[in-house]
Amino acid sequence: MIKDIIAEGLAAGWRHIDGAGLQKDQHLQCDVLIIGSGAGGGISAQVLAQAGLTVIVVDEGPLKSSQDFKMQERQAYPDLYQESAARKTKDKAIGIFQGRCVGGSTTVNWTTSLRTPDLTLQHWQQRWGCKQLSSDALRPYFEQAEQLLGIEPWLSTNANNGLLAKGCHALGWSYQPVPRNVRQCWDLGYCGMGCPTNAKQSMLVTTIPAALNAGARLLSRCRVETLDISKQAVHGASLQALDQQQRPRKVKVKVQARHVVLAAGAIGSPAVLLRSQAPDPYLLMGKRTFLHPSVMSGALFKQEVMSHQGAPQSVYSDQFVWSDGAEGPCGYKLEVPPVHPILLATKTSGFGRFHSEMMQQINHLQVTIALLRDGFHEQSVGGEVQLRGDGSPVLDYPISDFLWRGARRALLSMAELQFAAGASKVYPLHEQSQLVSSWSAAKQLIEQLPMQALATRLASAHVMGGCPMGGDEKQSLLNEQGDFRWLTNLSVIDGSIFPTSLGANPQLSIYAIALRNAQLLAKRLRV
Amino acid sequence: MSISRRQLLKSSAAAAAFAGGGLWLFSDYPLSFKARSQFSLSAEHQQIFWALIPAFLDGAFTADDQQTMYRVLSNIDHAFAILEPHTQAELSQLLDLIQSRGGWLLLSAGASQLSELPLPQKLDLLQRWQQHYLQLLRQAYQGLHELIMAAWYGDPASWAPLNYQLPAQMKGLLND
Repeated sequence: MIKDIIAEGLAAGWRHIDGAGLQKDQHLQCDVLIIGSGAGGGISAQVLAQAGLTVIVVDEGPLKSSQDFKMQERQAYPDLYQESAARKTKDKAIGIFQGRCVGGSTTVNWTTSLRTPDLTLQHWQQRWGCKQLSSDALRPYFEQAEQLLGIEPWLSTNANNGLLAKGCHALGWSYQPVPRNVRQCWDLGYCGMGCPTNAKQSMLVTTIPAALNAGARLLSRCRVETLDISKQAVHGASLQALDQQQRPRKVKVKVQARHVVLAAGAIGSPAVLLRSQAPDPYLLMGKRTFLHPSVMSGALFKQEVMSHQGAPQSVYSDQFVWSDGAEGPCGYKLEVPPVHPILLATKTSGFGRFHSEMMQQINHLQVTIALLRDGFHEQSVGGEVQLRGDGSPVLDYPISDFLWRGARRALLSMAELQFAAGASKVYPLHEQSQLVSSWSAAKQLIEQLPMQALATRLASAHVMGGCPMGGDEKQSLLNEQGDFRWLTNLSVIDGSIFPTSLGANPQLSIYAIALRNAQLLAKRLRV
Repeated sequence: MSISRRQLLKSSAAAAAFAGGGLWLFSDYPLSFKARSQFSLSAEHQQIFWALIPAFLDGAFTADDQQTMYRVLSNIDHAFAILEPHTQAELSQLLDLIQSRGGWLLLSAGASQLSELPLPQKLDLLQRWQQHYLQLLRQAYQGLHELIMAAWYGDPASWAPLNYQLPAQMKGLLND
């Protein structure tokens, strides 16, 4: 049997409260309250707890473990994802995959672990005044995170990724192996449903256990309603216990803390600040939220591809990410997704016979995705996190012509790549699309497809920005250490702090900056 | 010309009231279908899915396979029950719109009652919604598409024709 790290830790005395089982209101105290247990919250929890501070970590999602991960989308999506993996932007044009469980998105991501691109850091320095975050300054933190989480290039490539490499090779495009955060990986391909073997070095099996071993307390299924703010300072937070269906219960939890680390992700963190009516003199809160909106292209091959088997992502191409400079036309990164039935069935446009025949060819399908690098150009300002009447967040993300032009070029590149890799047919994912049998036919089709919300299929698993750091108080809510400018005792340590998207999958960027800022915070709080 | 969702809902509600509203869409319930009383979805909303499942999933299983139809409906109901409250409310609003006479006339551009439409006309209707110039109809189409497709293809009962299998090395380790 596979060792259940979580069950063993709980049996050994970890301090954990499940909001679904709480019988009465609670009043707790700690040095640091960490809101969220994903990439930013998990790293912060380990660093701060091991520094000797009393730490409480709270997550709105449940605490699950390897034996709960059954490799089935129908169970994993409602259990582990925000809105059952069906979260959408306000106009429903972009599907958003985000974790909602202890470990956050690191529990369900596809393990791709790339350093922040140098060009992104240079842009942040020049445009957003992030003077301290050079590649040299961050290198030790990248190395520390890579060592902590077993991050190394993965060289055992499945056919889905292999065809991305083959197409790039044939066209003379650059491509690289993907470093992954795994140890003794079984190469199953179900990372998106929670790793059933604990090979993925997510926060669930690394930093959260380390923090709990160091005496931290974990509150799962508890949602932060508001921060407790008075006299321009944060003193803790008010929490709502949730039941097993994530519905609010009557039980409340009050946490009093010397310091609060907000790490609820790039939709959750702005939402907590907005609900708390935190000061925001330059009206920046929740704005400039980025997604790497991704267009998708399916390709049929005569041979079996079996895109659901093996490490989901092991090859990527940056051929088009920076080809016209950081601030030029929209760049895009080429990767592949794992192809499981719900993911394929819901993202494949069309219905009836066409759709069911596509589904029956699932084992012959290769799928490529292009992640649009948003936020670097003046016409690419991202979206805005807003609150619904019930206080829940929604991301309004209008898609500019600048991004649509990038989307069309990306669909063209993917079709060209797939035919170069030997595809017999290609299907750009769009409501007015059709299967085409040659690169010239694909070109003709894609050039006439209307680039339009809810016509072009779009998805994202990367949410960034909304609480930007920077050097200028008129353009940023945080300084480069993650301190909130307008309230004392509050830091933000998660993907929301990025002033633009990254042009790379975000988890390692969050780990490195979280290590840096949590270590700086620990020093300040121990004084 | 664009029409906002609020305007559309308002006009369809008015039209529904004028036309008597209510159960027009399924005044003659198909004999083949019995609504499940224990479901979260109302009987009328179950009827709508019952009518749309064969169109969305045409070719996935045989058209007269009622057992599978009920299975898909049950999966849809399970998914509906755990939707976030705001999504649940939006979906209910859409189903109410389809159910009302005025709403249906707007959405279907004058087609017959949903329960009476033969499959080819249902397929035509889905294609119209899929590619409609009004964003609201494309939203409705994609919302229904996602729910119905996930309800069938998330179910291991759908996997045999796909030849999709869980990894052999995990057999016996998943505790189920």
